[in-house]
Amino acid sequence: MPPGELVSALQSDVAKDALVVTFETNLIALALILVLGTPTAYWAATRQSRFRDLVVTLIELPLVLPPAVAGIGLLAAFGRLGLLGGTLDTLGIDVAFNKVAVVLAVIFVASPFYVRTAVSAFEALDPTLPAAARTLGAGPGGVFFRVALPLAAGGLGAGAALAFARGLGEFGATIMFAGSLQGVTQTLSLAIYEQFDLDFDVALAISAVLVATSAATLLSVKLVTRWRSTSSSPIPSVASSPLSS
Amino acid sequence: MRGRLLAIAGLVAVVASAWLTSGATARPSATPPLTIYAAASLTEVFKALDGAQHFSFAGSNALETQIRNGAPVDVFASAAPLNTQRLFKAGIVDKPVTFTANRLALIVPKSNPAGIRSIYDLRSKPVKLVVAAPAVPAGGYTLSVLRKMGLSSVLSKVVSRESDVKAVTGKVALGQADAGFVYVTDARPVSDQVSVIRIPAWAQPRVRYEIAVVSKSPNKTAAQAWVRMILSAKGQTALKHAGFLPLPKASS
Amino acid sequence: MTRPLSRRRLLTVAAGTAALAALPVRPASAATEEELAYANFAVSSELLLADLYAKALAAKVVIGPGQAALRAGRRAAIQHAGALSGLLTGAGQDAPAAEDFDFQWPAKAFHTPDATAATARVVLRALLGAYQTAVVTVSEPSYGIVYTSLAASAGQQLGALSALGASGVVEPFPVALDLESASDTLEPYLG
Repeated sequence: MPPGELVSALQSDVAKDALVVTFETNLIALALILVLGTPTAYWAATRQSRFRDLVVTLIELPLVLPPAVAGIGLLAAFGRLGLLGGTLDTLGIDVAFNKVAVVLAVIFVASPFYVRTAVSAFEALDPTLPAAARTLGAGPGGVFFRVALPLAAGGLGAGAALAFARGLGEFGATIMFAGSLQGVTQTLSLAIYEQFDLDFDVALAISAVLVATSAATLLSVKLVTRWRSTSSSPIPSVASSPLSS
Repeated sequence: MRGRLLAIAGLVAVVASAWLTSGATARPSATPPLTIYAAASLTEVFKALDGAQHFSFAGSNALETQIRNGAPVDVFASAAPLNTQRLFKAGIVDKPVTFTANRLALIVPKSNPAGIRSIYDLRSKPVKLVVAAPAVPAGGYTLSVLRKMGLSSVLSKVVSRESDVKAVTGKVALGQADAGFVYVTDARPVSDQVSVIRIPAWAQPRVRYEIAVVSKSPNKTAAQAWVRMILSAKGQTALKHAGFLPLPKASS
Repeated sequence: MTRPLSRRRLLTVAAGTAALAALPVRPASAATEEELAYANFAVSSELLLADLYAKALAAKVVIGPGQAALRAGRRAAIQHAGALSGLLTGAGQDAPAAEDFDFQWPAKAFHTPDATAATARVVLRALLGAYQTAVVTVSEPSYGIVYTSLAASAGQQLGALSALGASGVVEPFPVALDLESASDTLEPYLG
């Protein structure tokens, strides 16, 4: 398909609306995943609580669920007749057929990708470094923000990129839970599905955008991992100090 | 260890090949099952009529695209003549035959959160309305109904355009949507979860289902026999019991 | 109608029909959807009325002048359906035909002249009511003329029911019905 046609197909209303909806919802979802997922991953990586395994399993569950089941799960939890439906209603929060629903669906399917990678990243930290920071007077918060986070940043970045790519491609849970309406809930994946027997050129153009974005995301994962791995290796002198356990 | 692994692999291979070939030898005299692509609204009635065939149910427009792009299908049953006729003009299916008709209805969840009692309420009350996408036959028929009743303004209340009519039914049955336009036949299987609001006969579009044998089908004789079965008393009675309409006397 | 069919009458009727058919109906863009909703309802109801007259004639319980009234009514209903179909197709919509419907009549609707008249009164009143509202709702003058003409004809047919032995209907202000009410009234018959 000639590039000129691709660009003009992308300028159609359907494509533009889908791009806006997708990036709006996915960036918000990613932000929430990072804010909520990072502390959770740190806790799971550093604490030896009984609940750790349970929490990790729950978080990873969406990984093995087919997206359609994820959709049903979301409906069962947040749907009008679901567990939290009544509560949300009384609080005046509308979670049906709008961007909030899309954000929830993306968080549900993409967060395991981030949390899993984040847990590994935190687990891979040399434990002597946070210990050294504590002996130097840093509180738990200080240890987290000034030692653990910067050192694990490479792994966290890779996890975030994976989660973002997964969220971009989400289809089943979104269409079941949020529905599909151009300009409101129709993401790039939903737009492709609707357009492929209406205007194949538009569907093709949107697919090209998704492929390009996914490729860029994977590439950035590789680059970030390589860059950070050269700067987060433990300092040999600290590792051999009497404080290491 | 390697010997044990080889033995396990061999066992898996034997079991797998036995399973794969069992379909062919189970009933030596029976014809292989046909692959039938049919409109979503035909799900219950076709499965009940002949559970032995391989069915794929979806919006007729999606099925048309798949067949056009070479899906190995024997029979195509569409909820609108447009899809079968387009494939016929392209030489992909043999001449289609009209085999049944249907009517549209408005369904609301049993709890009726938006308090909809008639179609005209859609205009005056806030409502989360779900319809099929315009390219789907049910979606096109919905637009016809609203146009005939002078109620197209109601489309501003649509919160989702679904890819087939069963998705619309599902969202209303689950209580997620306040109302949805479906065929009367779709309301029946979920009659304990939805209430049906009749659409007057003068507003109904001419809903015609067509069935055709795919020209390149490797099982043409069996496919033609299946189509004949649908057109026979057996098929027509089953359709009538499911709520489909008999064809008018002077069928188009 | 009691007057014998003469050449002059035939020409008058033909001229009237031609005049109705020649009414300038503006192109689709001028007609709003709500105006066409009345046309959609009316074409189905006129087909219902034509079926009523046909079934009444087939029952063969009405004789003499009443039969002529039924036949004239049937002709009028068929012509009305045709004119309304023209409005719809001219506006780009599909018009239904009689075979698209499965009209439902109560078991004894046409057993006696009185029953026939009572059934006809229900349908004609609903039509007359809807036409009255249609006249004031439409913005398109040519549509308004058509609906007025059809309303007048429905009124005449109500009066002609006296030929069936029942009292003809004369009301000072026949009730105008909105589309929803008229539709609800005829729903049991339209099937």
